[in-house]
Amino acid sequence: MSLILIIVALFAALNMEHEGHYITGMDNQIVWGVPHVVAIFLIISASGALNIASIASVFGRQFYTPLSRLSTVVAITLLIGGLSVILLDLGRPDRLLIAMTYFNFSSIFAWNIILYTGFIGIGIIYLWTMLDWQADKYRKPVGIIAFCWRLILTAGTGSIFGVLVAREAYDIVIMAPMFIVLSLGYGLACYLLVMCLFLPEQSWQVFKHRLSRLLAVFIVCGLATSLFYHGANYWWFDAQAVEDFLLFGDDIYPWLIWGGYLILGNILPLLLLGFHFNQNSQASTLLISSLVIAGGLVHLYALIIGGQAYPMPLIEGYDSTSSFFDGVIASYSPSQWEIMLGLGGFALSLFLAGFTVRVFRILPESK
Amino acid sequence: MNKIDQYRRKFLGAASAAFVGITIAPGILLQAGNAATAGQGVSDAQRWGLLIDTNRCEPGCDACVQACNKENGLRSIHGPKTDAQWIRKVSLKNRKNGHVLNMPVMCQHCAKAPCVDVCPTGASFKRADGIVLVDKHTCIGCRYCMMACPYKARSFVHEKLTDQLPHAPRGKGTVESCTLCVHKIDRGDNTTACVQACPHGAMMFGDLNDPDSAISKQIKSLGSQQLRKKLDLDTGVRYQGIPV
Amino acid sequence: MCIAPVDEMRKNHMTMLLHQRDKTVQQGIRGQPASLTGCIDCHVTPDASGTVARSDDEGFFCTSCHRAASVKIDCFECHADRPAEMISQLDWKSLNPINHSSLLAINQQSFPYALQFRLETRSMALNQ
Repeated sequence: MSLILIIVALFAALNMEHEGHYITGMDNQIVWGVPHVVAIFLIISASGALNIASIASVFGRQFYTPLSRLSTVVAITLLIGGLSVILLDLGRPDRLLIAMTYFNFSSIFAWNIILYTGFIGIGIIYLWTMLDWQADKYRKPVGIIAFCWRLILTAGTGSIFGVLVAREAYDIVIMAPMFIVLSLGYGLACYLLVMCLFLPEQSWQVFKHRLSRLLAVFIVCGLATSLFYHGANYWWFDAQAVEDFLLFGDDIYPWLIWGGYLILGNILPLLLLGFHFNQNSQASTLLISSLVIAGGLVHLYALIIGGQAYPMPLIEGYDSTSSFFDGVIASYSPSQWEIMLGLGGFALSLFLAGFTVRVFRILPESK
Repeated sequence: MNKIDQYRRKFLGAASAAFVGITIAPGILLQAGNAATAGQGVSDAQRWGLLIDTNRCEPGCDACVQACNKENGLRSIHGPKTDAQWIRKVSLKNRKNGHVLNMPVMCQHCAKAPCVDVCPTGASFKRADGIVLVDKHTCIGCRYCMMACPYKARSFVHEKLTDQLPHAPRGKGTVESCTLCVHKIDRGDNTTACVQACPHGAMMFGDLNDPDSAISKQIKSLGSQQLRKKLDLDTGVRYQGIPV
Repeated sequence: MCIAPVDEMRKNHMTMLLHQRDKTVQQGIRGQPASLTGCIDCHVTPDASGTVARSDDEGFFCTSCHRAASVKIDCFECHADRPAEMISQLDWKSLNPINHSSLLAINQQSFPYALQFRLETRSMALNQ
């Protein structure tokens, strides 16, 4: 199933590369679309998925030690999935070598390329310290490095938007810490999703209550930070008009934020977790994780697409019109190619995780 | 036959000129105006810029846009959303008093250009003489510069192109924008296609670093403003007649 | 007679072009011997019937060798594969020009100046 999706995504990417980006919904107004939403979600989830391992080896909670391996595997595979999507959406994916050899060190994006590749490397070393009992003594120092690295990585990903002075929705320093907090919930949701798919029911019984509680805590943290972000943008950072557009406008974005992110992605999962819906069975956790993931995607969609759709003022106090969509809320409807590519990113992550789980001893032993 | 002869003659002429060129001294063949043909490269002694008088800019006139399209071989392919527009006519209206402004907007050639800061490969760069360009040989098409540009000055090439002009190479999957007619500047034309085309004399090209240039004198006597001045980008394209 | 002996050109043309490419784009040094336009101006000429080979034709100067050596270049995705005067013969107007004035008019009709105003009045109302 995953393999089919991956092949479909590769076909989509090849088509985009061959025809050019006009076949997608992206244009000169909405320059980053669904592939970027998916890629950024997967990347911040990757850093969040590593948390279980960090809790065990950095903060010394023994309970989570058997869960660490899967956590590291999911983190690495999510990152690979995200990076593949972003790479395949480039105008010139054939120039990967240039991206790796020409660095502009004033660019956050260039730093992120280093952070991402470094994260994969450190993740693999981390995994080795868990799999090889002789390397056990390195686990804590490597764990600390990995933990710091993932904090920087998520902050760096947030800064991709945080440094954009041009657009009112983004030019705000909270972007970086907000991404770190959001990554907790999204990452754990992705982790649980993989766990529910591959872990035997018997083992799940051991871990389900703690993990469900942890997910609830992370969801609340993420929700609080998003509220703070929108609130701060609204009242302190002189971005009222754009927040008004995102939260109360006539377009799709308020629906996405209130209905998709807040209700489906936060309140509903919290309620389900709070009432121990179906005794936190694997099936119900699968549902809850999917809800959190969907909510996260929808929130990023509203931020990334909505932030671009809102027009930039050329002169304060003046409305503008032109042949280039000045002063107009840009419309965006993703094409099947972008959606195929995005799904392919998820499929690739899931496929790699499933493959690794089958080949190595990653899952916790049932006791 | 006549035509072939013509080409043959040209071929021989160019080849022998090149031969003479490399035997005597490289690069002394073309020394025109302020062009950097002497092998030195452009320097920061100059800073090229434009001055646009919005009071003279006529609504409905798009001579500058047409001239730009023609000069650089831009044309419509898949409709306005994905077509490249290096320069566009914008009309603005004051929300309170209804004051209307008309002006062309293109790459503002900022001294502190956000697109240059964010480009991961350094493909988006500022030349020593202040012109902001995309080195399409190293552009990977990530479009981060388009996200960063406060003026929406950049376009992404969304499709395969044919019949590009020799002086304006452009191709699928890379980002592009106004080059300030860099090929004309290097040739020593000392103007741009849009400035030449403006029938109302609303645009002026010149060296902002030279206090004796016409553009500097005009700015000195009447002042100039920048679009989105709050961002403090020190733009090379200046406007007159817009509110401070 | 090329800018260097044939052997030298066969071996080193790519290095010369690469070197000149960066000088031209970044430093504005133009009109040098090893410029791509220079190559094209000499090496792309019409055949007896007056037609010019295009970059993906077998008869094109670069392609004839690159095919044999299985070298794939992307120069002509962006660069003109013919000298300037052959392109200027094309009628620019026939190539689907962007009609700015009519686009502007459509934009003004369908998107009146009201958008920002609408949002701003709402923000003001919420602030009070």
